[in-house]
Amino acid sequence: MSAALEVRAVTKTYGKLKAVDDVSFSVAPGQIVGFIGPNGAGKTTTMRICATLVYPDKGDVFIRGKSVLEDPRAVRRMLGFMPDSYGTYANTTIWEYLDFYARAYDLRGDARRRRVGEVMEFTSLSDLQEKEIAGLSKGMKQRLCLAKTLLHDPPVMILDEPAAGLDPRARVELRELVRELSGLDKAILLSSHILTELAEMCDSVIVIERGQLKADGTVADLTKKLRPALQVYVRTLQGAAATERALVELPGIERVRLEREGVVFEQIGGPEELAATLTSLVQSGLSPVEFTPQQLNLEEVFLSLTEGKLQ
Amino acid sequence: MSSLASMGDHWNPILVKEVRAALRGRVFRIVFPIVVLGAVVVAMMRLSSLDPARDADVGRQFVEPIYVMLCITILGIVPFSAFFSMGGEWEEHTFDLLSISNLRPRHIVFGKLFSAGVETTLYFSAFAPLLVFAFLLRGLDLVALLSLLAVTYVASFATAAVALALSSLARVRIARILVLCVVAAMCFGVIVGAYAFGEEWVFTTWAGPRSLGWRGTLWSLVVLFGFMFGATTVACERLAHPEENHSTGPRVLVTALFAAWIISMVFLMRRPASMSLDWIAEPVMAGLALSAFAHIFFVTEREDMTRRAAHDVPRTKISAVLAAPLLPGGGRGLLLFALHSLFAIVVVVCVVTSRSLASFDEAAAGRETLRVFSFAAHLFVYLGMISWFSHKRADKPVVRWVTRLAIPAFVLLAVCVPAFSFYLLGERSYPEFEHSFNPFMSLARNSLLPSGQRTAIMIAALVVVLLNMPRVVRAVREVVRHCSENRTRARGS
Repeated sequence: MSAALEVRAVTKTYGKLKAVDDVSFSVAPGQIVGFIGPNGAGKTTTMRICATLVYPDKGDVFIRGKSVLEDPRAVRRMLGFMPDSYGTYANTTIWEYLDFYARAYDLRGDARRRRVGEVMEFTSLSDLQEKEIAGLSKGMKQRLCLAKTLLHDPPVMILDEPAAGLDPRARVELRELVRELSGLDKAILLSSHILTELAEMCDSVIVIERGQLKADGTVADLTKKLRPALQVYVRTLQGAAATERALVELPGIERVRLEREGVVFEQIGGPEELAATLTSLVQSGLSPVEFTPQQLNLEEVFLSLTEGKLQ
Repeated sequence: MSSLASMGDHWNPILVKEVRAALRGRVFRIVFPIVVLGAVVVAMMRLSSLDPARDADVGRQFVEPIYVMLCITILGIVPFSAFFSMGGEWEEHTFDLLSISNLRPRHIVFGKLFSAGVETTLYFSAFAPLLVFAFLLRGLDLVALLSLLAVTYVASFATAAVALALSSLARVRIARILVLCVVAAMCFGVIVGAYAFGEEWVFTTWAGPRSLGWRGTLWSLVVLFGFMFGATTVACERLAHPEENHSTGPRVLVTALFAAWIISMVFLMRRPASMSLDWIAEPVMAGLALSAFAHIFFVTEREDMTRRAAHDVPRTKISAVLAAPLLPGGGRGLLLFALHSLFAIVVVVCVVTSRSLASFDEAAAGRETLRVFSFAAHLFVYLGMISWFSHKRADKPVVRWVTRLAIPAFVLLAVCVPAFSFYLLGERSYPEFEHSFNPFMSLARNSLLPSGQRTAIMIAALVVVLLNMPRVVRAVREVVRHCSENRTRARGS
């Protein structure tokens, strides 16, 4: 599948600081990609380059084959960008705000009115259309900005920290909206520090630190790369020491250690070997009460991949 | 109704948004009634204090305070609201969202300017009944009053445009506070100026448009439109992306204005058969001085083009080389000034050697050409020398601004320091600023620098040319290189 968004060897320097250093990745249509990294890693700069707000010193970004350097206006027509800090206008209602941006995207007449209605419907803002923006909650403003981003129906969306400052309910609602957008075949690149959210929402993640790409792939792929062997937690009625003694005798078992009231070990091989281990434990007279394969979560992947150093 | 709605579709989105927000905004809803009420109170007070002995000009007595209030409103409040409206885009973090929409900088600037115009019109309409009443009181020349109001109306646009331009220059809060002081000073000056115009045209002399004539009104409008045009150009350039080409537009504009000025002035000055040759060289030199002022900004630009600007270099070699002086970069800016100077000299040579002139004589023709030549050489030396010192570090904004300030400062020092130094040494002519470092000496009619001093400035110009030659060559080569890269890329795609 051809990429909707392609970042090709992009470098951006501010004085002596290399904010983005030879970063390349791509996002396919209908794909949701999480962009994660510590503060100051270069996420926002990369996103602003994709949004034509900053031009790269080297490399290029292509949105559906159009270069940000050669044809920024064409890129803007195909791109919806929601910055981390965005403003709203005082003394303006939700409808006026959306109508203004619809006009700014050259939507005319009935098409404009219809589109404003559609995005208000999609983001559940229809009932509040006459409400002044100044009186909106953070979550509602976030919805409004998302609605604004959708006005020109862009095939590529870049959302910088869309969930920042939202309460749990608003976050869940945002997640649902993003999923719906992905269902509409939109390529979505979004950054967030709430990694549990991203893990649930994203098809793949990109990890960046000190301007350099650290990893790119699905969470499962990254976990496999970081931890090739499967880690399993087991607790038996006979206690941790007895379990440990039994485990070290078994084939395909490595790195056995005591943890809490049970034992953690690494299983070489796949599900068959794991089933065989469980059977052996039962046959050796142990009574397992807990036997849980442990996956690395996105937070652990992130911590393993990044060093937390600032530029 | 539907055609009205479809017309509304094509209105500038910024104008629609600003007017909607302003009408709902607290500022307008409070200020407008206060202004109207204030005008009525002032009118009542004036009516009660009219001088019965001056029965014939009671209208003029009445209109004066009304006009002052109108000026304070449309030349004070409107530019300030334009200033804050532009500043708000950065303050409220809305500028990025505007930048990635289909709006271009000119849509933003003109949207805000037209919304200032709507505000001005609303205030005007509030004052209209009082102005009509003043006219009915007798003693007012309708044409004079309408001329004054037309000029004031355009002045409000021009002041708002300058306020927008100043606001676009300062995106950081502290800088905006400083610029706000400049806007306040400008508004005060414009209000005082407008009152002076009113006094000249309507309040006291009773000469109406005859005092300054239609030409006066026309010139005032031309100057105000010039300010408005220049200010909107600056604002549009400032709003464009930092890596976009900011320079070509102003360069083309300055070149067009310079050429139009020189040609029109030469044409106008040649008309009276008895016109002296001095009158041809002087407007040309004034044009060169104005061009040099604009070139302070062009010659101090960073030398290399940004990647985005480089993409716009023409793909054919001849077009690229011809366009080089109009493309961004300090070296190319200096080349453009050299071309302006050359154009001015050629025009003067053509005119003064034209035997159709009544006052033609060969000595005067040679003298006038030399005057323009040495003036251009002076300006070239100051622009070229100072910018040469900093051109390698011109990618830093601080360096650019320091250089921009250093050029006029250096001219001032070069004019004053020798004068004071030689005054102390007892030299007679130097204290009167008649020395070769003073470029304005050439502007003084009928005077030509002594040949020794002329030689000194020509040598200085030659040195500056030699110093800047590698810089200019590099600048042209860069254009050729980008031209060939763009051609290769176009073939590839």
